Amino acid sequence: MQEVVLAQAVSLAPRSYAPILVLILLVMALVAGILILTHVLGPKRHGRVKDDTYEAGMPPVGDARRRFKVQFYIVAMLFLLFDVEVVFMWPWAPLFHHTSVTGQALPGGFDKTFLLVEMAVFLAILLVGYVYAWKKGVFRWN
Amino acid sequence: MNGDLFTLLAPELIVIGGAVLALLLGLGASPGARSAPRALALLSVFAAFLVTWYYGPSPAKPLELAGMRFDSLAYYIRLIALSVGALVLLVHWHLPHPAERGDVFAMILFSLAGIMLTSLANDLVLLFLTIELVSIPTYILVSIGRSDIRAQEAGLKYFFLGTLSAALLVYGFSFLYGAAGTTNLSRMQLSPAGGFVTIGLLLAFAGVAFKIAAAPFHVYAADVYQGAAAPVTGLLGFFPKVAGFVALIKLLFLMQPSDLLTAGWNMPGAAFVFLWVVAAATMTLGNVLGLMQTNVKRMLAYSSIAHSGYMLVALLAGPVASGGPLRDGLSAMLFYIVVYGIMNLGAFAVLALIQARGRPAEELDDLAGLGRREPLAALALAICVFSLMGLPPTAGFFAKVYVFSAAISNGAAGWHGLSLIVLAVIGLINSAIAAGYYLRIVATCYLREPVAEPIAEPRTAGIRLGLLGCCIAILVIGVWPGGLLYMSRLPFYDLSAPPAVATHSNAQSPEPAETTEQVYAKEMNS
Amino acid sequence: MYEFFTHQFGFSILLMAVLLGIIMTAVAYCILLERKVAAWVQDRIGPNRAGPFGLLQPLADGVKFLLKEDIISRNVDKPLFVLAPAIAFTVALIGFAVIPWAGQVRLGGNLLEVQVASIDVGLLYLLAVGSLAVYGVVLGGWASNNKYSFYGAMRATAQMLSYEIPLGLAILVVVLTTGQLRLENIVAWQIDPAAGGVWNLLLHPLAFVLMLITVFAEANRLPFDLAEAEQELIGGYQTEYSAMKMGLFYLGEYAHMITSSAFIAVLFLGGWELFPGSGRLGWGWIDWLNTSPSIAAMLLRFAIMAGKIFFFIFFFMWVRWTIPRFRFDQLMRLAWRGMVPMGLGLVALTGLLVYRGQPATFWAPVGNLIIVAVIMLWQVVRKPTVTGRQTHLPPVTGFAGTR
Repeated sequence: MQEVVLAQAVSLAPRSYAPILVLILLVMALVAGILILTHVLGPKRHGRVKDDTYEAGMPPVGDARRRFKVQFYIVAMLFLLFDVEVVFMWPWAPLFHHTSVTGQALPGGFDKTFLLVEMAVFLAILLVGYVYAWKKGVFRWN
Repeated sequence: MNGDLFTLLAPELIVIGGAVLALLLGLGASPGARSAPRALALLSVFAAFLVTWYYGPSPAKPLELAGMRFDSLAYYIRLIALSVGALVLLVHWHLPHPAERGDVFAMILFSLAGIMLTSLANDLVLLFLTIELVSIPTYILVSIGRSDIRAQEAGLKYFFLGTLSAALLVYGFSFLYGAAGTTNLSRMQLSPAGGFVTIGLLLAFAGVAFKIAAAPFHVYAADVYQGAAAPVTGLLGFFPKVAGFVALIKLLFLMQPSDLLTAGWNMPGAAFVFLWVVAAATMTLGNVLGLMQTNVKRMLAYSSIAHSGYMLVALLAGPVASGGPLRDGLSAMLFYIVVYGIMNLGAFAVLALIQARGRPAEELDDLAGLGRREPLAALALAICVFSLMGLPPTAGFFAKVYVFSAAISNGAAGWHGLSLIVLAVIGLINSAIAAGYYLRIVATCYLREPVAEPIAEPRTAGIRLGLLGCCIAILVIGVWPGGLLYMSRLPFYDLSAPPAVATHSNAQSPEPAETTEQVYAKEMNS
Repeated sequence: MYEFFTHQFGFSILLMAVLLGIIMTAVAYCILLERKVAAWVQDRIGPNRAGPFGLLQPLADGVKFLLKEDIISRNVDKPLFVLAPAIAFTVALIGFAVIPWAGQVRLGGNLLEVQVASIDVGLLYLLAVGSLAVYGVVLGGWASNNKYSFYGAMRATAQMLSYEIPLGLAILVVVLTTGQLRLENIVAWQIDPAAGGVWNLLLHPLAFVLMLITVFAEANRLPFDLAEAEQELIGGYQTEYSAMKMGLFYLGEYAHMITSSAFIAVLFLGGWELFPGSGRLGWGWIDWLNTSPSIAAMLLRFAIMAGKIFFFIFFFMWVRWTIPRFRFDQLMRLAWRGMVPMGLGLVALTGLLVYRGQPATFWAPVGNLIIVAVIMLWQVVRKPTVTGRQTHLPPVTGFAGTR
């Protein structure tokens, strides 16, 4: 009986995020269990050479965290730019679909043409950045 | 319904459109496309100026729309930013490598658009974004196309400290938002007594102090000014400062009673003391450190710090409800910033023009004997430096007169008024100290024997034209300050006026109210 | 107790437990399947010692993973080193929560969604969780303090970031067409003739191809496995890992493949629909299969969904053992100079179709074809890009050289 009450209480918000939370906790417990198990079960044999960093059998040279090509950094920045662009477009898409297919304007009088033009302007601004990056050779890895 | 916004924002849209086009044209392969950006940039600035001029100052009831406020302050700032911006473009004319022309001129235009939008911003978020729009291109301009290690250092320093100041600024804004519950500046009626307001204001002031290079946030200025190319340094003395001071004005107006302004500002005591100390320290530090320099760029950097101090004095004196232009600190500050921008740009334009030892002049020794080798350049430098010093008949003289008379005759009750007078005295003493190093520059040009054979770089019509423009402006304003003074008085009238709020649904034009000019004319007649 | 499971929350928990079990088993058998497919492609027999046809091989693998020595080398950043496989595995296993597996089912008088969590922004959730996968890789590579790991991680990060953009654009095409951010509604839109009644695969084949390619790249599978390219980077970001920590990376990779396959099936292949356009036929048994809330129909729908997922997993493996690896510059060029413009073109096309009020029309695939044709034409017309080792070779001319 108690679990029914619990289920009804949670079902008040049937489309809630609660199951996701449960799943995350479950998987985290699973992972922790696996990691502990494998750490406890396996043999432990240490050695100076064995505990060294693997570098194809040679004695390791220097630290691995060294300077790397700047293009990785630029790609990360461009990713931010474009990913945020796409994230902006996701909420826009259902609204645009709604106004276009039903022909109804959103509250505030925003009709489908307005939504289209707004997004076109937004995309045009980003496109300028894209063309600039392209012409500057950011996407050329040699 | 949103057409209004597009027409009202036409000047900004023109400038940004020009910037985007310049950026893309600069990438073109043909030499023709690569030289287009500078002409395009100048053209878009002229077009934006004409559009702004055509619109004229806003009606007595400023229009508020989409987080922006179209008032006379915006009109004034747009006009001066575009005029000085045109001179800045001319001074940069020959600077960049052809492959980087697009980038450099686009960055200047973006920064310029940022200033214009700062003057329009009527929302804390927009204000922050526009200030950053002014700053971020300047970080790029400092180090672009310069392989010099000092330029790299300058760029990095400027960028990191700029980021820090942006963080301070936005942190302060968050407190103000917390205190007011809205980010709309017109609806934020802040009480100066609130603790949140004081913390927020102090943090925001600290952030702005970096932009205007005021003590104790001035330490980067000398290194950055020295590391950047001379034309860029001329730009740095104007663009971030305008944005910073406009932000200060907007922040201070948050606490004014909406109906009428009495003498001075209504602000927390702590904020007043903070600004007072910052102003005094900025003037004194700038001038004293300036005396010790032998590098002209560093000298002018410290002079730039000191001038921020003078402007802070005027700002602190604040608007006065009654009385003539000599009492109004706000208009004195708005007047001063233009004059400073022009004379500073002129001085750096000379440094950009003169070559000594095969590189742009920088040390005092490089300028020795300039009066004989390049008399015209020396004369231009002398005009600019005399103006920086505040000698008549240059514009700098009237600028200083307005600033100090506003501080002295402010007439605020109690210790505010008295402390302003003390501040004015400190400022006057500082002007005398400053004469020491300014005169040294002029004396080196005219009285010393040449050490390094300074010559003006040939085929630099752009810089020469820009320099000529600066000198003419300095002399014209010096002889006839009334025009600019009239313009700088405009914002005073409608900054406190209640706005005509236009929403999306009813964007009716406000009934033909008295224009600011009519109000001003009436007051002059009475 | 039974009554608890007839409410959505209880049912979600039950479903979660069942699916977790299925996926963990499936992942283990995926590794066996991979080896069997490899053997098939290479004309070998493959694992056949542990049990009949090697069916007990996953069990043997699992035990071995657990019992091997868990080496943590001296120079690693220990907390991050342990955290990385945990993140990789966790992220791969929580994605399936929003996948609609089989429509609705009636249990104890309640109509329940066969879905762990039916949230408003299922699509965003799935993408957010997918983006987190890069943390497992980059932390693993960084914490290992090993040059192979580091380069592997750098490459993997750049690759996953770059391919996330075309992925987002391809999904955006679906969102624009269907107007939904909720995954079960996207499936319903593809089935219901009143809404769309056609698979997105048929409307936007190009978007489907983009999505398929990006899923390969996101999962770091051949031909996009530069992060762990054995010949140059030993094991890439996994080089320093051993025992079950390495196993977690493996399991995470396969779990990610399963979730991605389900995602593609939902977005483009009508989820649990047997064949496209079945809703238009008006046949009784098809309508029963598509919409009936009975348990039998639900299980059949689940089977159809599982079949589609199995097809994609097999496809992944098939490709892996068939196509050689890209070079890194080709990889980045494909993403930024090929797929991003294509994706933007597709979004523009879909936007215009939606603007006309008819997202599901014959013009959608035609537009897709036009975009492909334009890109192909441009590739032929423009100057050939000479990269890498080709710079030392004499120029190649003619159609074959214009790459």
